Amino acid sequence: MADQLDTSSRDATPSVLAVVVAHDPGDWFDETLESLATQDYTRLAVVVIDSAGDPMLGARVHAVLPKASVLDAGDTEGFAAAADAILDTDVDPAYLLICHDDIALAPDAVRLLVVESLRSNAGVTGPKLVDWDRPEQLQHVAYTVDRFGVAADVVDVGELDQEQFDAVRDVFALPSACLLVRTSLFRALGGFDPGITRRGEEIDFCWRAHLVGARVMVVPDARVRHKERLVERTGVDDIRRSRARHQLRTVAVTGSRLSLLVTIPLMLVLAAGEASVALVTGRMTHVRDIVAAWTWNLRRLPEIRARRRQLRPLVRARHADVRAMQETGSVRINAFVRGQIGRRDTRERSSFARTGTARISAVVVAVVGLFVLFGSRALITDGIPAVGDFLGFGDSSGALVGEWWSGWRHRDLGSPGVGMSAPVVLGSLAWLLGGSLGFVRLLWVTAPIVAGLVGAWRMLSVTGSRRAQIGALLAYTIVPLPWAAVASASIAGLYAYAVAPWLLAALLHGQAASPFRSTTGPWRGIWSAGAGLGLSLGTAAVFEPAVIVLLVPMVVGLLVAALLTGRPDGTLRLLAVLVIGAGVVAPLVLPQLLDQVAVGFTWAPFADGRSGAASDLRLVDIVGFAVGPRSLGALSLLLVVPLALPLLVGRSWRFGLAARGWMVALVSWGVAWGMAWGVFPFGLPDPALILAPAGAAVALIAGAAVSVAEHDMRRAGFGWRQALLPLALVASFLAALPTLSLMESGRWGMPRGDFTRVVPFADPDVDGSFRVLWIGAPADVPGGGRVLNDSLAWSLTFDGLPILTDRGVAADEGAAALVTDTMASALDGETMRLGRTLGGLAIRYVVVLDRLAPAPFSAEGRAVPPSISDALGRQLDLRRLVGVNTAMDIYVNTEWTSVRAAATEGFDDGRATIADLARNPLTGTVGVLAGRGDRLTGLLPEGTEMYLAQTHDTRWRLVVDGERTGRRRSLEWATAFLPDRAGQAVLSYDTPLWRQGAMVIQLAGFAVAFSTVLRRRIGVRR
Amino acid sequence: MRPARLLVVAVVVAALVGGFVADRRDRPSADVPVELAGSVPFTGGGGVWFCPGGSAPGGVAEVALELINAGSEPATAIVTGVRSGTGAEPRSVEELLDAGERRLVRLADLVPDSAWLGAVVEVDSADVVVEQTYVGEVNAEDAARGSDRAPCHTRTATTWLAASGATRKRELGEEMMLLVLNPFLDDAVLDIRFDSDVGIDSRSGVVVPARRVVAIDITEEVTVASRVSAIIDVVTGSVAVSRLQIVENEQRHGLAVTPASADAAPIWYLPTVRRGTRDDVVTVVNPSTTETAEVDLEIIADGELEFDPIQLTVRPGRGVAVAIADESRLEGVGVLSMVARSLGGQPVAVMVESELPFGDGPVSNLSAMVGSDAASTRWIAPAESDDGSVVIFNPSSSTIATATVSVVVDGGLEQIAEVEIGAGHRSVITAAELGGDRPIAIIESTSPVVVGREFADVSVHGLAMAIMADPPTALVD
Repeated sequence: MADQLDTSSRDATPSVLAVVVAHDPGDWFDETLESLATQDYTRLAVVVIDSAGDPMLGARVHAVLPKASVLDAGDTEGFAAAADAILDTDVDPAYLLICHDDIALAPDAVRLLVVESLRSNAGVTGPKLVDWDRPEQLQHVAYTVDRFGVAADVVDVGELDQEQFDAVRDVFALPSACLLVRTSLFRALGGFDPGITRRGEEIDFCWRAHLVGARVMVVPDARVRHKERLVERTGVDDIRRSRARHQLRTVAVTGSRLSLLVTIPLMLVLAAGEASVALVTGRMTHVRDIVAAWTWNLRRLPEIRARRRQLRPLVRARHADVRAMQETGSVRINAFVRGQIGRRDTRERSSFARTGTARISAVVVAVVGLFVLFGSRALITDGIPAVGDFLGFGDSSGALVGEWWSGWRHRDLGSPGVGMSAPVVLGSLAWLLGGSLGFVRLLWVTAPIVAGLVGAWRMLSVTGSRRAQIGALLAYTIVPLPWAAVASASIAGLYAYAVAPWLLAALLHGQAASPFRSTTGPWRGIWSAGAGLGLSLGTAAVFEPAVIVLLVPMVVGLLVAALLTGRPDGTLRLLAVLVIGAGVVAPLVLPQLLDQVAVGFTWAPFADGRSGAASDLRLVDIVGFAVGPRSLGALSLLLVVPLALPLLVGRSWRFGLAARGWMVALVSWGVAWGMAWGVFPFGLPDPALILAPAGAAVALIAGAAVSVAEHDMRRAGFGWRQALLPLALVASFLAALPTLSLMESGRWGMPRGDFTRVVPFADPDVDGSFRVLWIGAPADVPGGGRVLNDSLAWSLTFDGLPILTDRGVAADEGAAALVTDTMASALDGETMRLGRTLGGLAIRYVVVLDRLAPAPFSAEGRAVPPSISDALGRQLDLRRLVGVNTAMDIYVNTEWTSVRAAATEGFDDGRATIADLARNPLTGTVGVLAGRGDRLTGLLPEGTEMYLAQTHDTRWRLVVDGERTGRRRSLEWATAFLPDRAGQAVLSYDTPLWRQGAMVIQLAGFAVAFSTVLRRRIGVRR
Repeated sequence: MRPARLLVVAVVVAALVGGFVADRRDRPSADVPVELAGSVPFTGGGGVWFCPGGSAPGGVAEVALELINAGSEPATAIVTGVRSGTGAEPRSVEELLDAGERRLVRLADLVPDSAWLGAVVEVDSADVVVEQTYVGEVNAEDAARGSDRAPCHTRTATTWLAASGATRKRELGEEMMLLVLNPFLDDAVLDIRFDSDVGIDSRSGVVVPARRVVAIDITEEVTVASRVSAIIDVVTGSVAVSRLQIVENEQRHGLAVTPASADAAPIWYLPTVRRGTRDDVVTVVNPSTTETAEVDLEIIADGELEFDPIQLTVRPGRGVAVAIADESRLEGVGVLSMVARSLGGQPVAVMVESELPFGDGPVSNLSAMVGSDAASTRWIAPAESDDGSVVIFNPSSSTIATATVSVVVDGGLEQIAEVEIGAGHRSVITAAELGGDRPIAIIESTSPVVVGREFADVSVHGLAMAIMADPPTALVD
């Protein structure tokens, strides 16, 4: 082998030995050998290391390079060990050129590498690698590496070589495909780490090279073509597994003790996070690989220690200096985040990144993001007050989940049912985040805004026009619905805003009119459209069931548009998508669906305490989406001007899209207007929810308007059409001003505080659990209410302020009608002993609200009719608490009874119904077993019965000293337990298995649905 | 423009333009019930009666309650005494009333050691009426200074008006008091404005403790006034108020306890006013602090006689008294009804004071009534004496009312008369026609009417409204 080296002339030129590690190479290998044969560097010898033990390899090599040697390393495993075989020989060239067997060097490559190595005194140099088949495309120039040993290319996939990386420079690591290494360095370092079989050996080697003080440099003038198809050749796809193992090994070997104290725990956290994502997405092999990386290295700890001992005496550079050359942060997290941006393939992404619209898109997205962040700054820093629908989360995430799982709702007078499933989602998320309830609560309120904006952005992605998407995004941003919803503390409005563009997009895909039409068949995409519809709806319905109402104006609007434009052909598809969507939604809302079926369907959970009576909302506010507490004036109406553009000027699908958007908007506005006029015989949800389809339609039309400007206005000569464009732009700007002005408060006009420190409720642990009756306008009643009369709603909360599990009216109203009837009789002046009747319902406080939040946090209010205060003021057993807060009247009921009260035997004799209490009140009761929950314990006195003032349900049982007690109905609605002894009492609720089964199916449905979505979006990437 | 585009644009434009035009109309709104001053008790008002009461035995107006069951079924009433000042908490007593029964309850038995006594009565029937009866202090001649009766209130309120009274105690023995009942759990605070012929005055921050009766002696506040009106603004809480007027001199003596008006109203009906046989004085008070009220006192005489109204201008916060005796054009008319109508809709309060000519016997010759701001189709009128009468007034300007007058007998109703009352006319049923001993008359009418009562015998002269048994109706024609 040594005799190959030409020592006869130019002794000053350092000798180079090309070490080609071959592993059963393909036809291309001849080209590899030929590229070595044609090098213009004279003192170059070649040795081919046969790592596969191929007996035919020698003949192939010698056919091209007759002087080349072939070294058998068939007993080694992996590239590193095979390359290290050169160390076992007696050759001692100045340089080793370590090569893969799938490269082809430019004729001057070796010379350039050697020259630069000499000039810069580099220990390791490497060439610019380009694609084997498309040499104009860059493949690798160098690697950036973070402290976790994770490498990232400095070039993007498919990036064209435009000499943009042609400067010689120090880098942290170079690909092992072609490395020129000083032999002395290679020997000193013991070559590559033989424990690293494939992938990562170059990172480990270069890192150690840095530690011993060697420079690692890229010489881009030296070009090498590289095939790089290891997976195809080996048939083994172990990229993720091997990388994970080797990264950890490299860090463990090269890191200082001090740095390892930080790096290893951080790696553990990152691994846990990555494993969690993989677990959620159902990629069990991914999880296994992550875990196996740690176990693999733990098993090799002695080996790692030995390598650290070997390395330590060689280290010349400070670890900190080496660290300074590394990437800050985590390369893997950055890559993961980049992977979420879209689903286009990497090639498309790289081209996208270079376009002008991409830069505009990035700027617009950044501006919109800043707008949302700046406008929400006070909410983010100060937290979100617990008013309206934005209820508090209670003390712990576990309690939220537990109450949801119990299948019993404490709100109003208690009833079996699940309510919304938001508590389990948010509670679980808080648990995952280490109990960060406040942060999750912030997400609960702000995430729907982001989801809505993303939905608006994606709605027109099918057009292929980034500008159209920008138009839709900007229009949806200036639609003031979410800000009105935040100001009104309306979860319904927020989640309707979040889901509306997704629903509209799914329906448009379902209708399959251009540009949503598929060319591959009339029914193509119907399943994905239906699944998208169902998943969007199901997800939003977890937080707000009333979002299902959104479909009505959307579907009606699309059908009307189809008729008007003479294109009804997508109707059947649309209906099919609705059916499929219903099939997807059903398991996602199964518990709530069963609750509805159990009671024979009730509209109350959707009406949110609204009676259907007329309100003072004007059409100008409806069309301008000004449904919040703050009037936006008529300026926002100017948005109609740009929306008219596609209708008047648009051609082809732009006109069709605008027509559909306009019809959806008109129907949505019409429903809201009809609601304001009281034309519906039933109550409808928050106007912000009703208007969400119009908001999404406005975004759709705005996107179409931009497309019209792109396509249709360029075609025509100058005329009235062109004059519309500047007009539309000016109108859009002016229409945006009212929304922009909402940023000023940093909280979109939401109250600055809540009732937490204002209302003087008693401690339930002292006198027993109680209820609070809240009366006010439907939008002001915390947690949503039931209809009291045309303008007022009521709700009952347990032990004071409501929490998240109290949100939303239960499908099973239980005995709630008693409250409505009792209050109605008081309002009609039929009783002056309201307290006695309410007392039998365990109502201790009556709170009349005339605004969303207490003074001074909320100045503007919806005046409660004086008949309420008159009716309550004339009650002989209610005491008004004076001077609490001007935003509310609080009455204390002097005749209240605890929700769970020990009472003398026969305490309800002579009282057949709750109405009888007006003349014959319950007396002599003592509160026991205080607190929320479905299992309560405490002492029960001797000779007493227990009055359970909640809707009668035989699944509640009382056990005293281990013995189950009898029971009977009390006052026709409640329960009286009849213990025959005193002692330790346990009151518990036996949740029906079918209900818990439905809850499990719901959770499983979400797990499957989101796993599928995430797999589709990120699961394909490794 | 293609047809499809034309169609879509037309629909959009039509919807928006049509919508904005249609939206200019007023919204439909739920009928807001007309706020009635509610001076007349209504038995369907919640089953609770508030009785501001009077004095303990030996006081200036010893009070007792009369529970009257005008129904055909037995009923129960829980009477809870309310005291003045401090002392033992009053008792409650439950009374079972047979159909048609009238039972007297001595409040002093429930509140034994209090100077002033009131009561809250809870009944389980809309046919039960609660009235207060009064007997005046025994004078030097061993005769009671008079007697009266007045229904309790069925509501509390935050504004009360006592339109008339007199405080010339030293010269004429006139004393005026306000009896204030606070049945609630919180203290009430009152501001009182007085207007009198000697000037205006006020008193602020009068505290009525929770579940207490307070007697406010106006004579101490506004002295030597021949006409005093009091406007009570309840700053905190809600109360029920009666006015107590006492007269004791050589020419006149008597006692009148009159429910005050809960709030003012733009129209008042006075079913019975007399000229000649007694000297009635109608007083109109304008409680506004800013607006002047132009008030017509319309005169409704029997027969075809028509009279121009008496036109009054009542300045803010002031009262105007009209002595019917001074209206010479009414000479010979005798009995009449009146409607006090505020022409600008400015709410006012009206009271009619009635005084019989002093006779030889120990007749209490003083009485008063506040009239009614509403009408009803069913009234309960417990009669008191053989000499009294029930006056039915049809305040409508267009509808003829057919009224059936019955009395409660043996658990049922016995029809006494059926009268047709023309629009703006009145009909009188005498106690003799009603028959029986202290009968309970029930007046049912095909259209809303206003019913008043007169009591007159050798010992009592009284005026009072009957009690509404159907919801009050505001008449705007």
